[in-house]
Amino acid sequence: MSENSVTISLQDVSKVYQMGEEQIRALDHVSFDVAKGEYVAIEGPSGSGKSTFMNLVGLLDVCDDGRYLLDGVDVATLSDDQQAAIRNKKIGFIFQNFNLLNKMTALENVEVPLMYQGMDEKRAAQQAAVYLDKVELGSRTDHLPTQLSGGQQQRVAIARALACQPEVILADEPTGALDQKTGSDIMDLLDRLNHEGQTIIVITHDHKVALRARRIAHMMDGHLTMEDRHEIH
Amino acid sequence: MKFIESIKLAFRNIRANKMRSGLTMLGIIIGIASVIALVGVGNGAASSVKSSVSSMGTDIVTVKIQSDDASLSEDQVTALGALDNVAAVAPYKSISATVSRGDTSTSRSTILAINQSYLSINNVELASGRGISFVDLDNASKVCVIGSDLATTLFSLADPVGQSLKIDGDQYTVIGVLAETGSSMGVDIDSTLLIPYSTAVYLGEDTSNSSLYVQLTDATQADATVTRIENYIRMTLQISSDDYSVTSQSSMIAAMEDINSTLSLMLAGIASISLVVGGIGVMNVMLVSVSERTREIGVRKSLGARRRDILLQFLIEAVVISVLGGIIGILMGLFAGIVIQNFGTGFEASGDVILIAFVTSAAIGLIFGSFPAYRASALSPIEALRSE
Repeated sequence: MSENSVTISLQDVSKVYQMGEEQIRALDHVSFDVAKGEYVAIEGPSGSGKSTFMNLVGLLDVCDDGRYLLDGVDVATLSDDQQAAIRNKKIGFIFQNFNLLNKMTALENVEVPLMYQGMDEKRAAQQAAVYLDKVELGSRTDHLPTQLSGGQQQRVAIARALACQPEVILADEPTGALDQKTGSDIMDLLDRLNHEGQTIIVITHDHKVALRARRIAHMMDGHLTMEDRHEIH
Repeated sequence: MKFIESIKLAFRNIRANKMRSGLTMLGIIIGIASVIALVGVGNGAASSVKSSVSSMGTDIVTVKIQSDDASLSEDQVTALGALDNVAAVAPYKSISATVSRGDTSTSRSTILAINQSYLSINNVELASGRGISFVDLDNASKVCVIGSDLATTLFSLADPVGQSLKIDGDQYTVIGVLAETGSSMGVDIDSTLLIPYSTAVYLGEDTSNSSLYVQLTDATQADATVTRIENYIRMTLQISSDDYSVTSQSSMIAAMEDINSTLSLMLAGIASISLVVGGIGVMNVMLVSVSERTREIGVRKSLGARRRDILLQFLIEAVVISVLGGIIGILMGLFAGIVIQNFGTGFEASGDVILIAFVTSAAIGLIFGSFPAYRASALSPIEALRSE
């Protein structure tokens, strides 16, 4: 992998939380690169620091130490608004509990990030419809999240993550709230997106989910301890 | 996010929480409606007072000598009438006497001794007969013009003109009946009897004078003429300015307006208190809304909402609630005005007040919405996403 294809580069990053008297090193000198088009899993038990990892990569939080380069830009130098713009354009979040806005239809949920780009509602609706089609929900655009099954809600969330054509998809336990079969379908969808060239980082405690990725990094007590590289059968 | 989209979003959120938004609006509605209603009543009262004052015409100057041992003689009144810009003078004297006809009598009726100019200066119309003339004054004739109420009391439905009545036992002939006017300037002219000024000597009065109306040729020169009259009185009677007053009708109107605007301001002030309470309601609900939607704020931030987007979202929501409340409040206030009018109280809504009420309601949304909106925008995205 050549240097200029690197999208995400964490360099000796640390994050410390103060919990009462105790200091918790959620990330301890972590270095990690993700190249364009890669499919990476961060696997670890709860409390291992993988959520902190995701928050840092997703620009929801800042590191205490080290550098984080996204597309070659040191994110520490960016203003609040610039970080928001990067979350909007370069990062697509998929959460365990979907995090859809309950009073909006599937279509409107997918419109939200497009509207934050300054798009008007009409164009946003057109584009949102394209992505709902892509996740095979073209017939459910007017449904509220409460009228959709868990798997369908996660598909809406994926469509929303894709809507702004992000550099990277960050999926935090994407199957955590789904049954085996539905979870497997969602992972199939992520596989397909990766085949189309989408960079994906999955954070999970489930080894079966992690196995979908071509590269697995294990997280334990704030350290990225081991990396498996394997080809998908 | 585009501004227009933010406004749409605000409307959507308000619709999604109809009950809560409605109750919040109620505070603003009551506040604005009471401002509109109270200021309207204030203005209505003001204009009814003003119209009763100005029914006399702005070209009238009232002269009163308050000193006990000074008064204007007949000749001095005539001289006053010859001053520049003076069209006519109407000296008058209020006498209290018993008026009777046959068995019917009224004790202590007000009898006004007047000259030929009094009726026209005061805009008092005759219903029948004629008014006091030069000849009546010259001859000190025992004639009288009767107010409409007094006429009904003494003559019931019969035409009083040509009939006679008695004032303190002396016989007078009725020469005219006044049209009904209601009370004006504290005088109930309808139950008054008018006699020639010179005739008053029969009732024990002299011909000296301490109250008179002066009609001006040119009302715009009122101030200068007032000064001229004051100078004349001071020079001829040698009394200090405490002992007489010369008031033009326009200065009286100005004084009334002053009182009325103070009154309106006070009413608006009282109503504003309820507006402040309504504003606190808006803030309260917006704070609840922010904490209820903390997770939504986190999600929106993760999707690329800037601080400004979140701030605007909540601020616009607060302003829209307040402005909607304001519009409904204006309509309710005007409706209350119509009801009040049906009870006979004057009500006057001005465009200014409506505009101010509208702007105030928007300002309340801005002021009381900004703190909750700021709180929302300052939330950390991780904390917000973590909340349930």
